[in-house]
Amino acid sequence: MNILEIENVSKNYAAHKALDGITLHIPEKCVFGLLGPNGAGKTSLIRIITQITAPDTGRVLFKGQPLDGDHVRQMGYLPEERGLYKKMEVGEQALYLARLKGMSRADAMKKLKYWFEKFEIEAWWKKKVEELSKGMAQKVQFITTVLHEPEFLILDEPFTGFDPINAELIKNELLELKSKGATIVLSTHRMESVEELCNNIALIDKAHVILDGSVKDIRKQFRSHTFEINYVGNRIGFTNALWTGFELLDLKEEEEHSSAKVKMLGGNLSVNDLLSLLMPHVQILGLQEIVPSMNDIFIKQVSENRN
Amino acid sequence: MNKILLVIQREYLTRVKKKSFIIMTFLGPILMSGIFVSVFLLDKVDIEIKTIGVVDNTHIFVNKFKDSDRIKFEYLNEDINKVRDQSQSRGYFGVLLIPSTENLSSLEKAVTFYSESQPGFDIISKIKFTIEKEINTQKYIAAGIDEKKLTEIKTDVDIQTRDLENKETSTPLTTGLGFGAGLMIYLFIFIYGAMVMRGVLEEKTSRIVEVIISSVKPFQLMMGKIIGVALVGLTQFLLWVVLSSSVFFILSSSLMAESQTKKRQK
Repeated sequence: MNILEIENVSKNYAAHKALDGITLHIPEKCVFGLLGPNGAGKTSLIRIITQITAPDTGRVLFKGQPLDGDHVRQMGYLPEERGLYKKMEVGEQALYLARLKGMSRADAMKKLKYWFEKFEIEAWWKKKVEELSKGMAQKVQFITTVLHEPEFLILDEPFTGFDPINAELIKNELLELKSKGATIVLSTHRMESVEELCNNIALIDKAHVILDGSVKDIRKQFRSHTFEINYVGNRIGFTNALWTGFELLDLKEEEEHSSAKVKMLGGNLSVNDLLSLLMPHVQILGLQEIVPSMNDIFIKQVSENRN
Repeated sequence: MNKILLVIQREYLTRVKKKSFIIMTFLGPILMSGIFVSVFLLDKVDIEIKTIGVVDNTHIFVNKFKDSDRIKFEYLNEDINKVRDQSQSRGYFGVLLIPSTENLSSLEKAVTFYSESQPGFDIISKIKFTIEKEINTQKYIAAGIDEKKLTEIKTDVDIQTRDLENKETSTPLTTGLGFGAGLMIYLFIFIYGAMVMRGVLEEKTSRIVEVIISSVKPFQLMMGKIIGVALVGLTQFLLWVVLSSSVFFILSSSLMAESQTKKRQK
């Protein structure tokens, strides 16, 4: 079932078209990567989902219902351009933001205590925000985003400003939230975290969705049937063994073994065919398929779209 | 509605707890009453009696200038140049010359006041009033009009204002109140309007606004901010009025008591 359905949404700012007929379905209980180069329209789309702005045309359904004010309580939003009131105390501010989300004071206090203990930041409660470092403030912002246990979380570049240890902490928290049943929309440029965390992605460029689907399917779709083979043996024997159905892309000879990149040209060929051709001539040490990374797919798709 | 209350609460409490608010609230009345008291004290200090030498060549104005607490007139039957030269050594603040002219009308523009320092408005207006009055009297006599009759004829209308229930109302009082309230409204908008503006600016620069408006409607945020700041303003005004009047009351009663004991000692 889809938690969010975006149907044919368009948004214009004066002469600039930020979104042009975007249709996207976000399944529930998954981590959904919203990707795209700078200025693609990701933030515009997020602002429509969080009801900060309204679409010019199209509609957004949350759990099958058109978006309304009550849905705000079920959403958590960590914007890219985020901040806190500098002169306010950390605890007081976290409490204020939680209560704006509709939590009672007692409930908010209880949950804040839990999260502050979990992130080991109880000592910051009475500190003013201006005394915190950027990473420290980011932690507080993360807590205030997830405190009211939203079913639907939108995080815009949640890892920027964090050191690797804290980025790992946030990543684990996200996975835990997902396991508890939350749906997370992650907008990021860090492709390795997309591969690690996301089940589904949508790639937006120039106000259009140019790629959409599960990460597994997309990577499968973009596989080039290229394999890396490590072997010990004669170079001529190796090249001669490959017949017209395979193309040798690269071959490196090192002291202990050689490594070759081979592309499968025919659609009805398999890895077994390749192995049976090579095995009589060389000793195979290892073979693995070269699957394109999300980073490669991102660059390829965006540059193709622009050409 | 609940969210507006939360915003109001935050806006109010963060501002009221600020050091600048506390300092201004307590410093304001002290400054205000300080100004009042200093005016009062200056009034007391500046009790030097100014003597003015009058050289009246027309002899019409002899004894017409009435002495007051601050100003004394001395009639001199001497040459103006001599008096003017000696005015400082004789302790005069200034010398008034009323030259003899062909007729009264030409006298109107011929009176001169000589002094080392610029004379105050009170001195000039007193002299002007006395001379004008006397010239008028002389003109009446010349025209054969009895001044007493003229005084009788002179009318002074005083209109009583009453509301529809026949209760007495006071126009000067309401005008004064209106002016005062107008001034307060002007100050209020000026000071606290800027405060709302700074509040919005703070949210924009600290970049918290996007987080907030994903939880509350912009209208609720703005309304909460305006009401919150207005309440801060009203609190400050109220405290100013209470503190100012109490400080003023204490100071003025102590000053009054002091001046009364001095009078008794005299």
